[in-house]
Amino acid sequence: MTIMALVLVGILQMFSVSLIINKGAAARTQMLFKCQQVVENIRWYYYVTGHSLATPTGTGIPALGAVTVDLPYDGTETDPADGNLLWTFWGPNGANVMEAPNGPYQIRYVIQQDPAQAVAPNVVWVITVSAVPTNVATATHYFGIGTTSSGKRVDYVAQFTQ
Amino acid sequence: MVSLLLLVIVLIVAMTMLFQMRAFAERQQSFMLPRQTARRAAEYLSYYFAGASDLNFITSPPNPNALIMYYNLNGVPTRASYNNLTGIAADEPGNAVLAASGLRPANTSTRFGDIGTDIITMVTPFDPSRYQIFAPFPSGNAAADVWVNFRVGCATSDAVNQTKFQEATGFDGTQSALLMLVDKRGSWTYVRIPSAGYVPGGLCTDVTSYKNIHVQVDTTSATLAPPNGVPVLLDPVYLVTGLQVISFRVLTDDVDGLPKLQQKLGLFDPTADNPGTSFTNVMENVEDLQVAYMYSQEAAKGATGNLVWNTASQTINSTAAGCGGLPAPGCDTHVPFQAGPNFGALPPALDISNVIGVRFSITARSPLLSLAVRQMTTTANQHFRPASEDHAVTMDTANPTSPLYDQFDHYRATATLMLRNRIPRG
Repeated sequence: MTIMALVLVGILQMFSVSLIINKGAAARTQMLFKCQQVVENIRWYYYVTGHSLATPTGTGIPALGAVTVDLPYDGTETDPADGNLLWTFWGPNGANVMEAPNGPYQIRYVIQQDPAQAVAPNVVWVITVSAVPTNVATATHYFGIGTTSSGKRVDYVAQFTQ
Repeated sequence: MVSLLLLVIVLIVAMTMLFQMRAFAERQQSFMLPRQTARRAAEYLSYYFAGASDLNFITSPPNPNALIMYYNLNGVPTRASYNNLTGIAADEPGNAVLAASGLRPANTSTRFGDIGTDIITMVTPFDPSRYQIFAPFPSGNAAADVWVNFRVGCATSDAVNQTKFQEATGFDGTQSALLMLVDKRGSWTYVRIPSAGYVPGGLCTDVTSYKNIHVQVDTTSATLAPPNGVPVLLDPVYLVTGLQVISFRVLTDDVDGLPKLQQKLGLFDPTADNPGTSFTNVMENVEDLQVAYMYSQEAAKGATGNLVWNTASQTINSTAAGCGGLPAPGCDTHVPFQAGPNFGALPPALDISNVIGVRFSITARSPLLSLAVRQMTTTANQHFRPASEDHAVTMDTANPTSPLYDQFDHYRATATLMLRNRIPRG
């Protein structure tokens, strides 16, 4: 009887661990996919602004330079440049990078100039987009991932010229 | 007796847990499948979108025919791309809502694709080459003599050179693949070489004028032409080969009832692809494809200041920027206008040639959920097709304030993608 109980507990533990691992992998995949999308939207923005074609509004993307920017998270953030809601551009009715307010992940990007390629007209910029599981206690969380976000950060790095 | 009772209890607990674990595993599977399917489909489409190009190196706008909205078929403007299919023949000539068939329910699909989904047609180079053809370039007739600088097989013989030319132009025994002629100003037209058009006469020994291949071809393109007709081409003119036109749509299978992402190697033809047999299933359980068009010019901004069209906030229509006064069909079809090379005026701001990127969304669904799995999921959050760009949620007719719930999990993946050949140094 004891042996059977132990076997049962063991099976349950294995199942729980495999489920959590599966959920963790799914979370990483989702965050990576979102990071990719951030890069492509920023690439579009700097292309149209850098070539003086247009100025998209409500993106929250600052003028090209060494910057660190947080993407909107709770849906109330506004673009400091024009006052438009950032959620319109980044949310589900826009780029769909953020799927829901107070969702399970938060995204930040850092843009830096590549010091090895900084001579005009071949200036190269490096963008690092980082996604982490949310640390907001009241937010929706990934299953099995707490608010400490330890070990689940996803970085996506890309270069672009301007 | 006590031992037996305990054994029964343990067995019951064990079996309960095992069944619960199985339901959990199924739940996890149904949770992941639509996500994986949507991302896989997005990845698949990205491969084609990112490389869309018609190898027309005009600087502004580059690759004007990379995305195809219209073409002239026997002199009639014909649509190659659609926004939110309705099945209403007045709006979509040749289309109609389909009745139930097999496991497919009635009134969910049209002859062109599923209701509410988009169709997109593009050109991607897969074996690209350009060959100069020689002046005086024929001003256009049904069997114009065209000479081509093509020497791939000249190291062996004229006959081998002719064979190599047929290979390069995608000759399938009856005709060539769809090719394009492009001139120095970027004017372009479609061309297809019939079997009888591969005529002798070109000589590899001609190393003065390099008229190595001789073809007779319809340069007026009476059957297939750019929107608004064939332009006059000015020397130098190039024959562009190795282009592949590809169309994508979503259509629910009329046997198994599964919605599928389908692909056709060729122009979408409303007279044949209804549903026709030219489309191939590439992924099942894809229930929605939405394409939003990203522009680069200030003039393309809508009332909300948004440069992206066919989104939740704005859909192309006759009141959109620059759409007034355009020749039919204008912007009434809700896809970007395509002026074509013979338009005779500046293309409008929302012309498809001004699109530099697309934001496309794929909505996928799980297989039918089992009862145990359904009991574990939140109906309100997942059991209906979510809104995607300008394709709103389908509401329940019996309860108009609620979405039309079903027995699937759904997930929408969105990919933003620059058309690499339209953003030089981007």
